[in-house]
Amino acid sequence: MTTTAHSHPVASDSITRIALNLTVMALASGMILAVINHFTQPIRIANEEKMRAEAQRKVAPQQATSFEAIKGFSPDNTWYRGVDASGNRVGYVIPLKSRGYEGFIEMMLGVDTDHKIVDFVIVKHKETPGLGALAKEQPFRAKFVGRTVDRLEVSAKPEGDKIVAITGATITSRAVAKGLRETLKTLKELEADDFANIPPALAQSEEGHE
Amino acid sequence: MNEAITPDKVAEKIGEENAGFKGSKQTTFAGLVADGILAKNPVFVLALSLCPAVAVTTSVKTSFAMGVAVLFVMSFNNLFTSLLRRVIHPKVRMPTFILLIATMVTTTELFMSAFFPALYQEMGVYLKLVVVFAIILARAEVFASKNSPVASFMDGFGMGLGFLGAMVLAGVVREVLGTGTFWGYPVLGSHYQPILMIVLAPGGFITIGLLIALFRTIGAAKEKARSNASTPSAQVAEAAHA
Repeated sequence: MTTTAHSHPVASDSITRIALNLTVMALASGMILAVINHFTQPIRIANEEKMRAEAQRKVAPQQATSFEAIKGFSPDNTWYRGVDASGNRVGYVIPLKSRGYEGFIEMMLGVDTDHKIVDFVIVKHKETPGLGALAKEQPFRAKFVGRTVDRLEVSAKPEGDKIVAITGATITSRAVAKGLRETLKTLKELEADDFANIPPALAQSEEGHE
Repeated sequence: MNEAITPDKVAEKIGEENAGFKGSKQTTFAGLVADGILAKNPVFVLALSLCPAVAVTTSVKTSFAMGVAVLFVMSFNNLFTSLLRRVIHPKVRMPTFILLIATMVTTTELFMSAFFPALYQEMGVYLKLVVVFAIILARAEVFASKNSPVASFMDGFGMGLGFLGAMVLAGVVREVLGTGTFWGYPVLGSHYQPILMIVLAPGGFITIGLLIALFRTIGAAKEKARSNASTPSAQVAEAAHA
């Protein structure tokens, strides 16, 4: 940076003037951003809602034509039951999150009535682009399709029935599998008494939600 | 262009050349834009903003998005800095410049998260880090605070284009070699065994390093061609970088 002497028409070095200059700028900046946020916020929410609905349809069993929210879950953590055209229950759509390499990976899992994974999507994540971020792509997701809770182990190298981790992103791969495993376990417990006892962690909105 | 160029040296150097615009030897708007793309390319020549260049260029899509975001921020930040240059108190010009940049970046963020949520997700923290790009503050201080709004906009636009070009170039090399795809679509066939290292951080440094070397070589060849323009070697050099 050069330290050129600026010619300044109202150059006054009084501290009030300097402070005022910065304050006015900061205020103006805040106001501009507030206005922009005001107009983009509804679009952002609508788009998020749309993505959520799309994700729901993508992961649910194919026969599902509508989704009903299961009672007792917190609004931002609602589990859905998939229902087919003739009213039969065909599976579940479950939101979940798991601690990944960087922050939480938010996912949506779809299972059929046998608790076999239909598909899952990653809704939000902070994983490394080109590495951990590959977890949301089809080749990795395909490895989970049809698996049940007892077949969700991840290994860095091909090993028996285990899911092979994404090269360079073992932590992300494990995090995804762990999240799905724990959710399937919870599902089994909750289904046993037909969702009568939903654990407090799922029933209330979580603190420090990100 | 043979000596190592540091930001300080650049500032010093362009401070001396004082024809046409202050802080640039160019005399036309087109010249200012061209300067940003080639002679003063932020990544390849000035070697600024290498952190995001390494971090985000793992795919063409994220590289492109980052480049466009920076292009927008730089052009308009230069414009507003220039418009406000007589209002900003010299003693607080640095904080004010940063404030302006932060406002521009946040605006970009708000728009991106609203209209391109998936892409916004993929860029993660690096979009926020645009606030502390040395190149943007440098252009505000060296150029925009001393020139007319239009010239400043053009300077930012050229520099932004230079950055965008550099990002996309690095992104193409890394995505094609590192994953065998282009913009997410497979291009090298299933036989191709991707060089994973290219998409990892070390591959980023190596790719950028090689691209800088390439740029310098072309620059040197051009310089040589200019100095003996009448000799046949000029045509050879022209052909070499065509």
